[in-house]
Amino acid sequence: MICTACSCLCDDIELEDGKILNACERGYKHISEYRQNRAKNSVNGKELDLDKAIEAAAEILKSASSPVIYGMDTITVEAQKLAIKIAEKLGGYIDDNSSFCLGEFVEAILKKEVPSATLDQVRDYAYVIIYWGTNVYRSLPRHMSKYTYYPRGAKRNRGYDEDRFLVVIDIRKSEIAKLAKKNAKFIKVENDVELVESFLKAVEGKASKYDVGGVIREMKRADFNVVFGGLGLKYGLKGNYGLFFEFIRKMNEITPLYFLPSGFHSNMRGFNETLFETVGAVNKFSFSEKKSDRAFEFSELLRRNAIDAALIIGTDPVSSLPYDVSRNLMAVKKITIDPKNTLTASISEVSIRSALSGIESGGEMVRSDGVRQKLRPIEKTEYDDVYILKKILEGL
Amino acid sequence: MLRIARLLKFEALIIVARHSAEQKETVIYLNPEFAKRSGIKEGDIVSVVKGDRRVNLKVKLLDTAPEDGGIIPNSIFASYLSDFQNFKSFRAYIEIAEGGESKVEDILKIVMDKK
Repeated sequence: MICTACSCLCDDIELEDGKILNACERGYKHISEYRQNRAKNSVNGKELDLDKAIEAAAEILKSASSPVIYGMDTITVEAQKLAIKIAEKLGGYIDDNSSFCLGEFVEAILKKEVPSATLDQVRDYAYVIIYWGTNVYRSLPRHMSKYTYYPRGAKRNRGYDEDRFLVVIDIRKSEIAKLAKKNAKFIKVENDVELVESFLKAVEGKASKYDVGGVIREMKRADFNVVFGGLGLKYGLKGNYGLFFEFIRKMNEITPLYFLPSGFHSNMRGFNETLFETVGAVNKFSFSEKKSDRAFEFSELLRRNAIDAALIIGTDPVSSLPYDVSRNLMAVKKITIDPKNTLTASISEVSIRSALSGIESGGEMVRSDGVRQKLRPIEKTEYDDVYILKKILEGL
Repeated sequence: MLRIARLLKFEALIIVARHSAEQKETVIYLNPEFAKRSGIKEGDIVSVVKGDRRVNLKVKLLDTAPEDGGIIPNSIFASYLSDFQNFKSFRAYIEIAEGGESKVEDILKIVMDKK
């Protein structure tokens, strides 16, 4: 089966005699505990059957003057397309976690503002591998062992200590920073913008605050290098994405350097690509104003009390958004579609239990590098996100 | 016996990050050196205070935590303290707590009371 615990979408998970093989700790937990803490179909706290809950959801959306569809990063592309249709029919807003996660990075890749590559290409060809503001040991536990640093690739077949050069950039000595010993460098960063400027100066042969000349020299030795950027980089840049992308482009004038977001929810890239194909934007889109804007981010809409109903699919904003924002959810009618009884589901006017994508329902998801994967569920339930969203759409 | 650490509070860098055992665990992972300097031991309950917000978390020691602070796993506790200007890292004060660990329900109640 394909593991849907994170955006690596590992395709080699096997179930044998009740054992889960090849999964990381995160994937193992995701698969082995999928029956635990399941959501119930309910309206105003009262347990009802699925059809009644769907009816109530459609009624809330129909009567809303300013609805938003939010989340969708853990559901399949097929379900995402239906959610977009619902937002379009309502003339409402649509946004996902990427607006506060790595949406800017995916957008730059989709708009071809920076060169990108697949994880398979990284495994086969990459020499310098830079992890910037991300600790994949915790967030994407098999990233280095399955896709990047450790595997022997087609052109990198002498092992990581000879055929790879690892660079870890972080504000602390994380687990992966500790790996930066032989053929490697750890850069403790205090200011990401200054570090980008240091790289730009080093490209021109000038001295700079951070000693990055050695990294540039290593990159020049190879015909394939890669930067994985995480949330630490995103927030460290403080909005200066253009400067960072300029660094990637400048590097490419002297040696190939590809850029990849280091990972996120299982199908965040799928949502970004699906919305991009539909409206030309990756997130924070208003169907009534027909444009994407920062003001249409879910968190901004909440902050300004600009919405009166929210269809929240496969995400838990009460847990993941800062309190200054999440507290305003209480003034909004909430419909939650989720396999799990999340904190948001527990306080929603309508809660709808869905199937867990990849385990109980099939469909397509998009890996963090843009490679599409067909899910191979171990069970099959009729009442998956596609069924539920189709019914809601019909009810509008 | 009175512990001096009970009378003090320490400024710390808090990083919010994914950690394998997260969500429900009411934990802060402190750098062992920082904890030692601050007179905090593994298993202590500490208050993490940012502005007028406070959560009580159980201390575990982790040598990959920042030298001058700790890591709070992604959770409602981290979200309660953070904001978008300081979403993944912020400065806060740490002091030995008077009561027990915060509960998810406590924070949820605060969120819900804002209706």
